[in-house]
Amino acid sequence: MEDKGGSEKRGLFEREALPHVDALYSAALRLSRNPDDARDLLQETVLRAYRFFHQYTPGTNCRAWLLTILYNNFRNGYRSADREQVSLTPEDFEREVEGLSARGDQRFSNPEMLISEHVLDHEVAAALNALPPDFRTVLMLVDVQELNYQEVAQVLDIPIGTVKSRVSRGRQMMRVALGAFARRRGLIG
Amino acid sequence: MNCEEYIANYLSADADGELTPEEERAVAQHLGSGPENGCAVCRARLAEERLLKALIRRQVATVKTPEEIRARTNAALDQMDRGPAPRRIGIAVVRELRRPRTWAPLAAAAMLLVVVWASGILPGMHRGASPTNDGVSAIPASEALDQAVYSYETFETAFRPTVPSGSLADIAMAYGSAEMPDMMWNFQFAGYGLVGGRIDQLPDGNPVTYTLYHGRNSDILCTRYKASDFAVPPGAVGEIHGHLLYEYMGYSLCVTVSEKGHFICVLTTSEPMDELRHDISLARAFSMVR
Repeated sequence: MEDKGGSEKRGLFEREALPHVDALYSAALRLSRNPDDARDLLQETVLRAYRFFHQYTPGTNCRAWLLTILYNNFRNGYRSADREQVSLTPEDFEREVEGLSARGDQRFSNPEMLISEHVLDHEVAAALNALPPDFRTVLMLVDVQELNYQEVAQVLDIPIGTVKSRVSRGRQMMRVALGAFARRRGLIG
Repeated sequence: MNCEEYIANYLSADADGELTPEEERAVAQHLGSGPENGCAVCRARLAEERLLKALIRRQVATVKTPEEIRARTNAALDQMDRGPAPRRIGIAVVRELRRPRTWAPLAAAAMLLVVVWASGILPGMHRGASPTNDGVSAIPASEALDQAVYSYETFETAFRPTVPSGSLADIAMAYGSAEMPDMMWNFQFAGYGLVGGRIDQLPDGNPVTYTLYHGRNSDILCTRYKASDFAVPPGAVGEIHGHLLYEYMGYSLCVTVSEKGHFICVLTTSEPMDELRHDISLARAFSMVR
């Protein structure tokens, strides 16, 4: 894109990119887990996007492009040594949700229904928060930001096969956790 | 395709609309569409998977960006639209016009010191004073501003880091081991990249650190000196988050004197004061110890 001068570029940016600010802020909040850091991460993302707006291809998914910048910012430097999150493994997750590891691997492909409409919001939140970050991130991008697998692969800079397997494994973990909560409440056997 | 295969390999992608046409056909064959036809169990699992997606989406509702953040972001975009700051007029002229009279004699000494120092003769020559000796006073605070400005002018064109790393953590560690403050400014969000860190020694044996950040329109140099009792220099034009701001010799400076007066930190930049203020508002502190 040629340098079209400030106002034209700004107008295009406001039409294409700024409608996604709430989505970016939500993602920033979830990544940084505190409003001050989320604010900084959002602002840096928007400024960087504006600076490099000539690299955006009109007609492609602008939200995916913006999220790519946001996740890059978060990875590079923002998440500095002193704020590195402790990363759970899927096995840690299973231990977190009630000694599930004793049940064996077949639980993942068990066709019984574990989730119902009666799942409580705070249980979904707890299960999501307990997910290992890599798995939570892909579910956020697919289910909340509504990106397709190819776009998620681009945002996170990982192969599309990894996206696919993380979505599948992440949902399986969610399902097992929600099933465990429901059992605890006596909703299902 | 059996149930196990479907659930392990296709269920999630099916719920997400990510199956290839070929996979869709195979899946349709397995799932079927009625009690007599296809796998009702896997159809239920697909419904469950979609429910899970909806539950996640409902849980993580999009948060409305606070108005204050929108306003700040718009203001920052406006600032980018305005483009680079106007070039400052010749430094020599500005220096004559703006230098507070009381500091003038110190500046000459500082100039001499920096010239010699930059030539590489002095560092290492006066090792008599231990860097840990807080009783040894370094330069007065006002002179620290002169030093900072001259250092900026020197390093703006040629900066040779002594800490061979572009990472704040490495530089912080090196500063820490020289018994200098290891709390680092991080100007990444203001659009400044870290160039590197440099540790030198003053003629009195005290260490001094320089951290250079490179931005689109200007650099920011963070200079830190050690002393027994720095006083706050007079003539501040403002304050931000407890740091004092000075317009000095055509430069914008931000000065922090440590609580006990043992260190002084001077940020120097050629950008106008309102931009330095803005950069500081976007900056965050980085420290190895939380």
